Order: sequence, then C-alpha cells, then structure tokens
Amino acid sequence: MAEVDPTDAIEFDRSVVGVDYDVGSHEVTEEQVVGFAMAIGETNPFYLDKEEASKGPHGVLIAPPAYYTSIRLQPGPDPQVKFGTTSFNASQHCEFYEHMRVGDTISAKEQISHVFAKTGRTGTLVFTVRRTTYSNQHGRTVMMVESSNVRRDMTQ
Amino acid sequence: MSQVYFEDVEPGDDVGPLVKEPTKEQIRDYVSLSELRMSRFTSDQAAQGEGLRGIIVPGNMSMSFLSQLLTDWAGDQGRLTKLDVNFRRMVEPGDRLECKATVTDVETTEDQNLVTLDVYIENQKAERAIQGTAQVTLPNKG
Repeated sequence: MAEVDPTDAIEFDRSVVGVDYDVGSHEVTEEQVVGFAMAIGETNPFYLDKEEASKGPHGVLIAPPAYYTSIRLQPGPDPQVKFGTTSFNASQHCEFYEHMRVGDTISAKEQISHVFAKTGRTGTLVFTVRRTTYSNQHGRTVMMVESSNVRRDMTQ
Repeated sequence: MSQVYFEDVEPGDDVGPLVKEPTKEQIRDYVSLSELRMSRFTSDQAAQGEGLRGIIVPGNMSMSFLSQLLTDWAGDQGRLTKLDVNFRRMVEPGDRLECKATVTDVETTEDQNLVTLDVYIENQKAERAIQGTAQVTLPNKG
C-alpha cells in the first residue's frame, strides 16, 4: 500500500511555491551596522569603528555576516499555511559570497522553495522553506539564505 | 585581532567557547533594530500566551553569536562562507550560552583554503540549543 504523504492533507497556497518575488531593497548604513554589531556584542573594529575600518582591507565599515537578520524588506510570498497555533525558526542555511559594506544598496528576491509536513511522536509539524537571495548595487549576489520555519499546534 | 593560518589548523581542533548571556535588554535592542513584530521576544505575557514559559531569545540572535565565534576565529584575512544551523531548543534570557566549534575537515581547492567545522551552542545544562556546520576560508602563512 502506498504511503500517504502528510503534506497532502495540509491546506496552503501552492501557487506561490517556486516563484521569485522582488522584496525591495535596503541601504546599509553605519548606524544600522554598528547598532547590529553592538546588539550582538561584536568586538571586531571592522564592524564598529569607522576610522579603524578605513585602514583595513575593505576601506569602509563592513557588516557582520549575520547582519542580514536585521534587514527588513517588503513582506515576501505567503503560502498561507492553515495549520498550527504558532511558528518557530527551524533552521537557516546561509552562503556568504561577499561582505555587505556601508553604502551598499542591497536588493533581495525571495521565494517559497517548498512546504512539507512531517508527522512524528510529537505530532505533525509543517515546514515552510523560504529562499532569499541578496544582491548589491553592482548586481553581484552577496549572500543566499534558506530559512525553514515550522508550524505546530501548541495546544496538543 | 589575532590571525589563524590554514597550516596551523587540523581536524579535531576546538574553537571557542565564546560565552554569551543575553539579557532582556539586549533582546529588546536586537528586536527593535530588526523590527521583529513577534511580542514573544519582548513580553512574558505574550510568550506565555503561546505556551512558552516567558520571553525567548530570537533564534537569529543566537545564530548571530555563532557567526561572531567564527568570524573572530577566522580573523581579518579569513572569511565565513557557509553557516548551516538547526534550532533545537528555546533560549531564554539569563541562559549561559557557550558557542563552540570543532574542525572536521581541511581542504585546499584551486584558489581557497577551506575549513569545515561542526558548530553548536550549549546552555548551562549542557543542552544544545543550536547545532550545525560551517565553512570558513583561511589564509596561508607568509
């Protein structure tokens, strides 16, 4: 007998899967880079000190790799998963190709790469995997992140 | 900042720990900067309404600590190129987090020295809140 895929029973908008959406752009500013670095407790002067950074290999303040987590863009595609009472970060897969630098304009495209359900001993979990690609003003891709978000029913 | 060189690194080498103890105030700063709208990060009451014990640390904030561990280690001439993590357990304000990594592989390609590492964050109960893998490029000596 064929195994039933639990994803088949989950209601969501399948039309957004695999489609790239432009989610706008972000100016990398000294204020936000330094603010992010301080919030995390970074000590690297290349993220914190404009004078020191200007003497370094980049010639300007650069953003820590995880800076992208502080970038707010337009809302991306929403598969409108009808399941669960809450959602959490499940995983992040990041590839960093170039530093983001103060003065850069970063534009991003986002797609829902897949939605799937898993049923285990704690019940059913529904995962949404979102891929965001960030490019700078020179048209070069500076990083890509695939973030997986899990929805679960906390009342169970 | 000190610089580690590719020739000095071998599988089994440990990196860290970088110790972090995120406070509610630091979480508020991160949440405000990142414009996170989920109140589970700023309100105990809201977090409890979602079945949690109270405020939790955003997963991306914890992941940023791991990024710091790796970029600090790689130094000015090295670079973090990949970070792949799973969020396994909630982190709460006041938790004592040890961010650590272990080198699992070293490889020279045509134009890069690649170091692969297992990475994780352990709380004060030795429970892993985050774990995954990373890749860093390092310079040669001389």
